[in-house]
Amino acid sequence: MAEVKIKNLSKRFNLDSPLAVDGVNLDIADGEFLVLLGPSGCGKTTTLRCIAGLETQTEGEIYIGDQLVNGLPAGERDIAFVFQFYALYPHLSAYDNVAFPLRAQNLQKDEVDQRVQQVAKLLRIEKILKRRPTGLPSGEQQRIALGRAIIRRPQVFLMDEPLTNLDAALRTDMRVELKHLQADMATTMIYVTHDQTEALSMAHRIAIMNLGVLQQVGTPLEVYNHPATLFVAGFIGTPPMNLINCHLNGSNSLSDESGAFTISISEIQNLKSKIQNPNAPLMFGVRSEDISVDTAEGAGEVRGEVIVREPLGDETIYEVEIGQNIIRVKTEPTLILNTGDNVGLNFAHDRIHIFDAESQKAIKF
Amino acid sequence: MSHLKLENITKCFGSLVALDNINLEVHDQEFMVVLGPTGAGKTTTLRCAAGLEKPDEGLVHMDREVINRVSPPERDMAFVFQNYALYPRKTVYQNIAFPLEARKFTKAQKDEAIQRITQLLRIDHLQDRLPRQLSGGEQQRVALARAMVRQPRLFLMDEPLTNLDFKLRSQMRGELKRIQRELAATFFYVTNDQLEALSLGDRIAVLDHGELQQTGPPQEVYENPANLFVAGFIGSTRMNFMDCSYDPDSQTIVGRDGVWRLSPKEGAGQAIVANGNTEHLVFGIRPEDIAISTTDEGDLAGKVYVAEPLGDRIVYDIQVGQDMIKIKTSPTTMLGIGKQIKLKVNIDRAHIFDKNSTKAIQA
Amino acid sequence: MTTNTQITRTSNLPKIIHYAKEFLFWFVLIATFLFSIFPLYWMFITSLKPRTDVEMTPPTFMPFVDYQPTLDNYVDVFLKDRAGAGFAEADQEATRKISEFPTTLTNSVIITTVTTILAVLMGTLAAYAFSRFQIKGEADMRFFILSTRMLPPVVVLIPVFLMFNQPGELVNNALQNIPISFIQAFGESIKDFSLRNSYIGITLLYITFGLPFVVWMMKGFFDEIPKEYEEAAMMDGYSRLEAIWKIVLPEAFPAMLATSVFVVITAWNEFVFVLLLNRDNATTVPPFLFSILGYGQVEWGRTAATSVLFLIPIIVFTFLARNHLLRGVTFGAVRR
Repeated sequence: MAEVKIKNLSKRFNLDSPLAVDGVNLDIADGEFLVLLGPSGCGKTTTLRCIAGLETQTEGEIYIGDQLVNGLPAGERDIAFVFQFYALYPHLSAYDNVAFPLRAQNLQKDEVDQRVQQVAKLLRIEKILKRRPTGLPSGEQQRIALGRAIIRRPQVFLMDEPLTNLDAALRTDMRVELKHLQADMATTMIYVTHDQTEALSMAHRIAIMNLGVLQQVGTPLEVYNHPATLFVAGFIGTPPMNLINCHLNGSNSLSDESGAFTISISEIQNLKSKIQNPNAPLMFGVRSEDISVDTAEGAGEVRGEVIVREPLGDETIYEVEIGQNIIRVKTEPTLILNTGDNVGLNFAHDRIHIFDAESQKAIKF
Repeated sequence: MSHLKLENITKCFGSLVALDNINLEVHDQEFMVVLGPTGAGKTTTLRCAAGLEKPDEGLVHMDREVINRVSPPERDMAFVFQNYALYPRKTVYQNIAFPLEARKFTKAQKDEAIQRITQLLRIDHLQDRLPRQLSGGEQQRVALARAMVRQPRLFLMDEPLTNLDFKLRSQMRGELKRIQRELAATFFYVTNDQLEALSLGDRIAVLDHGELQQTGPPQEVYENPANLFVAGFIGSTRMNFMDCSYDPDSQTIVGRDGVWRLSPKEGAGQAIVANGNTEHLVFGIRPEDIAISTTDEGDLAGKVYVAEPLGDRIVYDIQVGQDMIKIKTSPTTMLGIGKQIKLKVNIDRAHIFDKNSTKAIQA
Repeated sequence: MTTNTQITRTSNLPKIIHYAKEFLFWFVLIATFLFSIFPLYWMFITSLKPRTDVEMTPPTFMPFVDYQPTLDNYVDVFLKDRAGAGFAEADQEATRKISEFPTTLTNSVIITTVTTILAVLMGTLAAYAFSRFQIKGEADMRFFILSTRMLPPVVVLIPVFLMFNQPGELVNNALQNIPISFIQAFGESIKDFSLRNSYIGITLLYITFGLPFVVWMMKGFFDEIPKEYEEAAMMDGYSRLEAIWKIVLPEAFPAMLATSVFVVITAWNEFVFVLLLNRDNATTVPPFLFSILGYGQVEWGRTAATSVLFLIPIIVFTFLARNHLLRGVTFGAVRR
């Protein structure tokens, strides 16, 4: 078990290609479950592979424990890596797959057996140990791959989208299992995913990356409630946060270009003091659950027309058109609105976000 | 008018029964969604409608006319493939123009139609590109444009949003629904994503193992699932299932090993008795229909196993006896792992299933 | 302490390994290249050597340095007969015995071209059917087709010879048993028909040899092309044939070209069958090459020059097709 420190990590694949990882700094505590989250091509997997030693970074240092591991081959870093495609050895039985890392250590047969049984019990694969991975359902293959990673008791687990190839129900189950497993073993885990639900539900802390740059590191609630950049705001949450281009107008309010969307903000003075240029383009952000619908005539801070209704069972999402903007509102499934209805919307003012549209950064006010 | 009717359709591939006596109707201007897991036979259903697959048995009707022997080009339907099937050597313009060329459109007519549809789908700036120069979302729009550039009688869509990332998918959902309404088109749409089905469909047909499980409007399928499969498949956090039995004497539902007892809602007890199976039952309750009791009283007692914060809510896995159930709570509810808690169940929204037949027992 | 040792390791050792790896890589690459190119080079410079230099031991390898290159051998290719006798300009009798090389080269070109076009076309269509339609006994048929490639062609040499020798007579013998006069008459008329010494016979044979390979290769390529392309075209309002013509064939073209390169090379190089079957007429270059080796003293210079000329069409064709060839061969890898 160990902490992992990443200092100024950069990776460039070809001389003329842009940086795949651009100056990432990250400290991961001993026993922490850290999720690297971002869209495909954001550099999260490259970062993970650098930590594993499967890629050599262009610049920067990686410490596992207090040892600098730059240049140390992957096999000597005492880490375990779980691949997206489980990379099980097809000619070996599940048992031999799990035992494989131990074979390299010349352990006694008894001890190998004891440890395989122990891991198999933990992962509930005792019954399939004799079988070969090909032909097993993907969930069980995944468990075998996990078993192979766990058995070595490495200092750090690295996982590259291990749940991506599972179907939705299994993914939800495995999420819970993995989280529980990590808590049990208290081993440091660095987990890569593009799925924000996975990140929110499993992580102690989430590190969000885009275009090779680290955007924000924080607990799930922090990144959800206080996104540091526009990218984070748009990437985390279902549906994505509503974002509207706007600017300060003369009175104490924000409005979009046409003025169809205008909202007064109580702490406007506070906000003004944080903005140098009063004409700067801003971005107003609000999550769909922080908006309420008022069907009374003329009510609401802004009014718009319902254009799409998306019932999702336990909640319903309405798309409401206000001027050029479309705002998504999450409501109780019992609220029935028809397309074409004119409705008022109210915002939870303590949960709105303002971003500087140029620097893309959140403005705290 | 476009009214598609599949009557007693059966289709086998070798010894595998892909579709087993399917009856399904798509009404004019309806958004009909076929929902099911991989291998359920959804795509085969669509391909039978398109004429790309010939059913072994049963009739395909279009506007009261049997079209079993009509070839795909003559059926006048448009098909959007899961992998888009854009012609790799043709530009976006040529791809979209291709179906028009089969119908001998003049250059001017072509240009006009393509202009209109590319604007509607916001891809008019991409006309000279080749498919491989487009992002997934753009390719998806081109595939839609190619289908929508003419006015076919029916749009067949095979998981068109599956290959898009999560954010784009939720965007395109809204857009598809808007376009369908604007064109007043009839959509026959296949997906394995229950969220897509609920949000898009005027009606949903749930398919599993080639058999139709239930057909109905989204809310109905969500609130009154006909069997265990539908109940488990629909809903973003799966319905909790707990094995139970019914004790007619005390008129209560009894959990495994008797760890909990609940009085069922009005009439449910009689329905269970009438169904004849009181021993092997499954109690189903959605995570949002369970609340944490604020007092010491509660319907169920359990221990917190894992917490999953999802931003706008927290899902807790609670161990109740031998069962693991999920509950949905507000994002401010904080429960430590291992904490013993009491739960309240909204019994009016609970479901009882016969474990042998898997069917719901309706009160 | 640990940190220090680590740094030394990262800075020095890997660099040496890096250069060593780089050196080894280029060394192996260049050695392989030289090894494979050397015979061709030797043949080429031999074709330019004056007769006196050809058989020198040890051989010389540097034109302009070791000897003065000459085109005499190339002139000989066109002006000498098999036996290597030259023709005096005045000798009327001998001018008629002009070199057989131009004729055999033309034969080679005709036979190879027709073989390639027909084999690739037919094979492609068959492969498409195998790839797209459910055919009864498909696996057996495919195995049968492939199995014809498994046995060395020479084992069928004698049956093929007998079959080709007098097929007309065999048919005639059969037809004479039918007591209908015009059928018997037809039998008489084809009695002398033979597939030996004819373009048709040898071309048919080469197509037979080429087809399994084409079917086998093209089936693989078609399997890589998603069937949704044709289905999309059919939904767009085209028949299946139109869909194949407009969408699938343009996709498959690089693969067809790649396949045809292999067919061309096989047909171009084939020696045994054409030697046996087409001794007198429609002979191709390989037997001719062999024949000039066979008389008395070997003229290595002329042989080398003939070989170079024989090689040129293949090199030109492969060169023209090289982009497609590469795309065709890497087709499966690039697609996904």
